[in-house]
Formats: sequence, C-alpha cells, structure tokens
Amino acid sequence: MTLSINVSKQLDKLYLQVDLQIGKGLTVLLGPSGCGKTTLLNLIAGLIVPDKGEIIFGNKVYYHSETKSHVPVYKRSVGYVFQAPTLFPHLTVKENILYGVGRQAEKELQHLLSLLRIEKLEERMPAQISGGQAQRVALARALITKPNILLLDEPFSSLDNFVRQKVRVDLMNVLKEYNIPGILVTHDLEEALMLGDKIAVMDEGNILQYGLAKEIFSRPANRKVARFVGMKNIYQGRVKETVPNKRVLIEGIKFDVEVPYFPVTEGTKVVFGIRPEDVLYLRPDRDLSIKINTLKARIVDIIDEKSLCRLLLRVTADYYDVEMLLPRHVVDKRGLKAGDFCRVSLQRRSLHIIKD
Amino acid sequence: MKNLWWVLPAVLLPLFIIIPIISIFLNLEIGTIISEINQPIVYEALRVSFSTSLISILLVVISGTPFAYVLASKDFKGKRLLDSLVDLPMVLPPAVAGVALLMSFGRRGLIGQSFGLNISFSFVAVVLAQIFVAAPFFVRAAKSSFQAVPKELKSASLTLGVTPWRTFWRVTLPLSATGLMGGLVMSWARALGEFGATIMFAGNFRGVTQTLPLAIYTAMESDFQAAMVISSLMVIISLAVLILVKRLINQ
Repeated sequence: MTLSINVSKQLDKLYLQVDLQIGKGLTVLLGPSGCGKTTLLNLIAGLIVPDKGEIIFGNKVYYHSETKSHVPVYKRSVGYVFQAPTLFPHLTVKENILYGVGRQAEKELQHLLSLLRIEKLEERMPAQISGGQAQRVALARALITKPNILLLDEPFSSLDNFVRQKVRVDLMNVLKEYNIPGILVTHDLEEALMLGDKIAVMDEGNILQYGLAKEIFSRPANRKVARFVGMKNIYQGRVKETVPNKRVLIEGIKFDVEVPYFPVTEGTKVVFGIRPEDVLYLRPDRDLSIKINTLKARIVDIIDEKSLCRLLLRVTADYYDVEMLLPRHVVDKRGLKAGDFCRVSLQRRSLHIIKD
Repeated sequence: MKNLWWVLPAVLLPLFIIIPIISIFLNLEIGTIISEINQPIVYEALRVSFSTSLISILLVVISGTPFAYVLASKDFKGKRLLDSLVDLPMVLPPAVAGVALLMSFGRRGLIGQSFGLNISFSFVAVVLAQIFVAAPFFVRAAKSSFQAVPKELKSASLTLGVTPWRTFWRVTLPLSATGLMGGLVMSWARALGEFGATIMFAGNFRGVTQTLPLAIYTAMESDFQAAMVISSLMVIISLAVLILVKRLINQ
C-alpha cells in the first residue's frame, strides 16, 4: 500500500507544496522547526484541508481537489501520536487504549501492553504515569485501531535521553510486528538514522530530498540537505583533471582532493563534502603509507560530545577548516590536545560531490 | 507602626459587607421562621421562584450549551459582535431588560403583535425575564470551559475513528463538566435573585409571578417578619451557591 501525496497549502508564514510517495517501512520527515512537517502530517490525517491536490492511500481517495472529495478524519483510519502526550485525562490507561475500539479488543490490549512494557499501568490515570509511559500508551491507543498508516509527530521530544532510547527501541519492535507504514517527524539526526528506512528532508514547505536513510546521510543532494544531515565539512573547488573510471582531481580553494570518477568536464566548479565521522585520524607511528587526500592540521579545539570528541582542525589560515569526530578513547590514548598537530585523511570513498 | 495607615480602609470594606448580612439574622427568631414560612406570601413565592428558575435554567442549558460550543470552537463573521451582545444583559440595568422584554414579547411588542401573543404579566414572562438576565452567566462559563479543552484531545479522538458528535460526548463534555456546573449554579442563582426585569415584564401577582425577591418587596409594607425570613433564606441559598462554585473550581 502506498500513500501518495501531492498537495499545496498556503499557511500564514509558509507555502507548503509536497509531492511524495510513501511506501512500506518508516519514513522520517527531517527538517528545522517551522518547515511544515507537522502541517504535512495534519494534511494526511485530514485535520487540515489542502488548497489543492490529492492524497490517496492505496485505492482510497482521502482528498482530491478536482472531485472535491474530502474524507473526514474519523473515517481515514490514520493513527496519530502527537508531540505532547494527548491521553484523555478523565480515562484510565486501559480506557484510553480501548477508546477507539471498545471492549472486544481486550486480547489485543494485553498483547500491546506487554509489547510496550506497560502491563501494570492499566488502571492508572494519565496524571499518574511518566512522559515515556504516556507516549507508549498513546502508541498503543493508535495501533489497536489497526490504522492504515501511523503518523508520529516528534513523539520523543519531551522525553529525557535515557527514556527516549528505550521508547525508540519499543517503537522499532512494534512497527516491525504491525508492519504499518509510518511517518516520523523529527529534527534529531540520530533518531532519523536509527529509525528511518527512508528519509525525506524538508525545508520551507518543500521536500528537498527523499531517499534511503544511508543515502541521504552520505549523499545529500544539495548544501541545505548536507547541513541538515550533519555533513559539516563542505568545500568549493574546480575540476582539474579527470581519469575515466578511476578518479577526478579537484583543486580546492582550501586544499586539493581526489574523488572517485564521475562524468564531469575539466574546469567545472564543484562543491564537495565529508561527514565529520568519516574523517580519518592517521596515527603518527603507523598509517604512513596513506598518502592520498592527507592533510596536516593543527587542532584548534576539542569539544566533548557524549562518547565522542569533536575536533576542530585548522589547515589554512581560517579559524578552522575541518571537523572530525573521534571516539574519546582515541583522543585520550593519543593525548590529543588543542595546539597539537596531526595528520588526517579525507578518504576518497567518503568524499561526496554535492550538486549545488 | 507608621506603615499601617492602610489597615483601617482595608478592614472597612469587608465589615461593610458582613454587617448588613449578619443584621438580617439578628432580627430573626426560630419560632417566627417556622410560622412565617407557613404564610401564603412566603410559601407561594418559594413555589414560584423554584419552579420558574428551574425551568429557566433547564432552557438556558439546553440552548446555551450548543451556542457556547459554537462560540468556543467555530469562527464566523460577526462572532465578536454576537459574543458581546449576548453578554450585554450582564451589565444592563434589569429595568432596561424589563422594558426590552415588554417591547418584544408584550401585547404590543415586536413578537407579541406579529404572532398575536400576550406573554407579559404571566408565569412564562417570569421565565423569560430570568433567561434573559441569567443566560449570559452560563454561556460565559460554558464557552471558557469548552475553550479550555485542548484541541489535540479532540484531534486525537477523531484520528481514533470517533465522530465529532461522539467526541463531544466522550471528551469535550466530561472535561468541561465542572466548568459547566459552575456556570449553571451561578446562572441559577442569578435567575433566583431576578427582580427588576420580572416586576416590569411579569408584574407582581402572588402565586403566579411573585418570586422571592418580589415577595420581599411586597412584604416590607405588610409583613416585615416575612420579608426578614425570605431574605435570610436567600442569603443561605446564595452562600451555599458560592461555596459550591468555589469547590467545583478547585477540583
């Protein structure tokens, strides 16, 4: 079953125009706040009516501006988990989950309760459970109605890090079992990569790029997407030499690099990039054989990030030119500190040409 | 000590409110209460007041609830104006309300004339006068309690396959119930205390249109003790209403 969306909608500050086909698995909608992600979910759910276009799920027409058909929300069978917990405060957890289906779903209820690890909460009121539990209940409440599609609007954003990890894993398991196509809105890269089968990058009401998660992360289509998906190192250059089926030599403004061959004429301006985690640290005692795309750099600063360290490296006269992510133990073992020199490699296979 | 100059005025106001209320009860004896309640002027006024105010409040709830819901959740042209107009009776002098009702439902009024009706000076007129002045209290409270129900809860209900009509009964109404009750009680108290519009539009006929406040007015000239008894009853009812409303709000 495919959800096919082709709609436009004029909002207060935004003109939303989206053409997207969503199939099996979980599609992550990634983008900055205010870019229209939630609006898109509301359009799919039917909470907002588009100005023009069509929304079709399988052979069911949810909305079509030509035929003036608009299926109301309650007939669309769309599961929706909202950003803020929206449990009915006057009903118990059990009553909340059974709200859309009634008592005959008791067996399904027990199954979902154990799957989401909320068995003992049945008789509690929403005010008596935690945020993470509340979102699990909301998830169960949506799933028990056997929706055609599941919409998740930043369901983890109000949870602390530890709880968030757990609920994510629960969500993955549930989605696998129920095999419902889903759309997850987030601006968390880690979440997008971990949960998304596919990613759609959205900005200012438009889809910038849509594709497999790994592809989006390593092959962003343009600079904007590159910035969203954390490809921090982006450089400009000009094609100096092409060796068909082997390599392309790029003369960069900051430094020269070699990238795998792609059809391009010499002299063309190009933009290329590499993810900070793909920058390779070369050990001074070994790795001397690696010569291609190596840079000698001075460490400007080292920033701690959870289990990783972000190293800001200076190659030219700028404040810093390259960001590199290293596991903390490497930084500790090598005794790296600001002011030190080191050698790094921008490996050919990690370098990516960005169409701009 | 020199910063305590404000204590005296601050104490004056509550005293000014409490002393008159207490003084009603000071002139009463238990024996007279029982004998006075058996006076026709008292028990007939009780009967008229309770029957009219209960009918009024029932009609206010039946018509005011859907109206308040529309005000709370829909947008339409002229909504602000309509909203203010409906509130008008809250600030309008009751005598003006009485004139307005006479000019519309009286024998020679707008509606009275076109339908050949004469509602004025009847039991129905008492009910109409009460609805006119008391309805805004309910509509106001109902509107704000409907607005206090988060929109996302309604959206969530719809996405779970529940129709808007059933969503109203299963989510919106239970969550605004205490607010509605508070509005209902306030509105009923206002209907019970209605005087000006009633005496102008419905007149002062014992057993038909003479409500408790009108009975106090009448008894002041003939049976002073009866006026005292009715007044004390109304103080007790009003106090009970206030306590109930505060309890509901605190829940």
